[in-house]
Amino acid sequence: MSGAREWMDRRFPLTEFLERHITNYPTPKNLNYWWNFGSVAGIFFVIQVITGVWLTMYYKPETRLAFDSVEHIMRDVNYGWLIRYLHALGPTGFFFALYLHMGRGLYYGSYQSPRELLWWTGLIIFLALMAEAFMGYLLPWGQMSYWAATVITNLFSAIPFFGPDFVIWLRGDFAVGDATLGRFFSLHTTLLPLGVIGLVVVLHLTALHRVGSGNPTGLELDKKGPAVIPFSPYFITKDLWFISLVLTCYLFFVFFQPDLFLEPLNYEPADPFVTPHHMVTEWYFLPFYAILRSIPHKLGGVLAMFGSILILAFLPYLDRSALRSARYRPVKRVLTWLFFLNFAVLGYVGLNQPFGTILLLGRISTAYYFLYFLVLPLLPARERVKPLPKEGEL
Amino acid sequence: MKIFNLLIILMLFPLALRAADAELPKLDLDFSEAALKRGEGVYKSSCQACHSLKYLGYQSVMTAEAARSAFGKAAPDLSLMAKARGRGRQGARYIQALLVSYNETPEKNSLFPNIAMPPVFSKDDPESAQKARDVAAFLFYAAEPLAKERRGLGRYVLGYMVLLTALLYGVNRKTWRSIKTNRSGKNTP
Amino acid sequence: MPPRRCAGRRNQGLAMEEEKFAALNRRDFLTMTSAAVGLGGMGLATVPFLKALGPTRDIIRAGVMEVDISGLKEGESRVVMWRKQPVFIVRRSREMVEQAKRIALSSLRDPAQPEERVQRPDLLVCLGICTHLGCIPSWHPEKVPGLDQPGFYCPCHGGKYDSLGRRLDGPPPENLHLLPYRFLNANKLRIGTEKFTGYSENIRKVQELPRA
Repeated sequence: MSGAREWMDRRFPLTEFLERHITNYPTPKNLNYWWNFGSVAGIFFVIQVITGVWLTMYYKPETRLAFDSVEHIMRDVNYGWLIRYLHALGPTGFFFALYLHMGRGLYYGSYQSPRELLWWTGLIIFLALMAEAFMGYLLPWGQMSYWAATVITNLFSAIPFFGPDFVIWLRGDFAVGDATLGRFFSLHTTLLPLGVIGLVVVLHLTALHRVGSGNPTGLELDKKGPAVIPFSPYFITKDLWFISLVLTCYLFFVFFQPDLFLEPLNYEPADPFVTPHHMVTEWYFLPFYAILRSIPHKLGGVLAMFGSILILAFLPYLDRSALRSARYRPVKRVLTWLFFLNFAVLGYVGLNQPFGTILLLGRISTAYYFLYFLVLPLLPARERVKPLPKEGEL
Repeated sequence: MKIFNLLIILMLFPLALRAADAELPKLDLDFSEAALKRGEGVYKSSCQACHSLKYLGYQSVMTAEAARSAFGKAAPDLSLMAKARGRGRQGARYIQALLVSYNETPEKNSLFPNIAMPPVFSKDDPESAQKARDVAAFLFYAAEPLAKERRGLGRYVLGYMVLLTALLYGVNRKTWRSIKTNRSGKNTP
Repeated sequence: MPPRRCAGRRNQGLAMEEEKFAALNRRDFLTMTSAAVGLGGMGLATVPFLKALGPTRDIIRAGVMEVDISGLKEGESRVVMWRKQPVFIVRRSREMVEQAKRIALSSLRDPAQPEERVQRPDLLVCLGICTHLGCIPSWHPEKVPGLDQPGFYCPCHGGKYDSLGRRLDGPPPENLHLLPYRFLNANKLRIGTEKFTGYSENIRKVQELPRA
């Protein structure tokens, strides 16, 4: 057996790689469960790819055939219903993990130097994933699929001068149709998952391994010091058990409540002549949908929506406090928890029609969302902080 | 661990949303084999005239053109109607409620005002409530014929996952125990 | 990871060692069990994906068909497509039945009694695929080229079968394969079954459809 390993090592840095990046990879001892969500997101990515490959074997990317092909999968393909539900509920797990993962970054200052590239590659993954989910949603060709694609592609008509022509080019036709379905299918199954998400995840992990994980104290730990332990077996066992827990919840929904996360209206085939009364998007887009709808100006709304994601990229420069972690910064701590709560409120707003109280709430929440980022630079000069622990005490 | 508990709650929160679906009257639906058979009979006698059920192989008698000229709209296919009108069993409840909500007012139906579909059961039919229940149950089945298999397999899968999670949790605790009790020493690989 | 022991505390050290050893064993047992359960589960999890590649339910449902044989004349053969494969249905004449009985089993490469090949002597139902390399043989009600009796002849490599589809000459290794069927009445056959058991469905001996 060791002969085989030597044969391999002479030709390929396998053992060296495994030891450096997994077995002996130095990880802070004091990581809490907020640090588990990166690997959870990774697992959902794998689930989506595998189930996606299988669905592509039976799905037909043509407007006349798409809806029926999905029902064919549900009713005729052996275990097709399982593969379909796994794939349809996967994004819920994926975005759930991703929001908690990003929230950890926000709270513990993981975006600060020297982790800017880690943060930015993460944002690219987030954006790519939103595009991926959006395109995937068109494929079943249900009522909500069609109209969500129509509304969201229409957003780009807000661009001055080029907007309306750009939308036609984007759709490949004057309205969402076969041309749109074809390109969304191609990008959703080929370029985006592997070319973008896969590639950028590799870059993301590479950046991580260069600087090492942050930790709840925000202290930059000595990689050979007492507060750091090898990744294996400690974080392998921790990751495995937590992933198992998350998958248990996920599979509960897949087997017993799959329709809880699926929009009922999407079980109706797309009808270009009838717009649904109540346009809803998938839950993970709701907060951004709320931001979009809270600005009464078309272009303004679009800019606010994209801006709400892009502003995250500026965090390394907005927050230059010497203390990374909100644990020791009482003001940032409260503001950040409020930010999370506010995000949930925005989600609730996105679920409801933008009138009256809901609209007002949405505007207040949108305002708070952006104010949070604008307040951050002002904090270091003014806040009273808690004392940091010593590295030896960890 | 406080945050950990919060996460568990977060993961199961969606279940609470389900309980919030309390708009429709709580009507009892029977999903037994007998009810499904009766429901299929009701579909064939009362619905198939206008509504196809294509994924179960039933064509409608009336064409879409004829329906449009008679009622203003083509009668939609019913294969997925139970799923299109509500999550879980809510869709079936909606269908049942719709069928018994016809009245004499100008709005024609108290649940769906100005509905294009005419009343299906006659007012004097004593079995109309039962028929509505049965056809709703049948349409629920038609929307996902393999639902029973899904739940059956689900029991095994969830049982297995709970076991696996418990085992892996145990392994993790054992692994970390040596670290947690080791206060004085360095971490030797 | 065992803690460093001071030299003077050997007894205490030993007790701690034993406890560590016991703990390790417990962890090992637990780890072994978890690994077994986990790997077992992963193995089982592949099953739906593998099964999903198999024929879908609608294909299997289409694999049950009824054939009307009332118009089939003596000596005539008809081909129907079943599961995308040709099926021969032949009305055998008295002479064909007698001729087939006269063939000695020992002379056959793939010996089979007439009773193992047909439910009723006057009707042959078998797959129309040559067991050599898969061409579709042709039916010769008078004489197969090169023989003095009726049967099937495969033009690709010269395989020859009798009127029961048994291999008489040429490269084919086996008799023409059989498939499950049932007589609904004298004029109607039901061939194929919904339960797809794979290729191990008995192809060598005629079997009746279950009376489901």
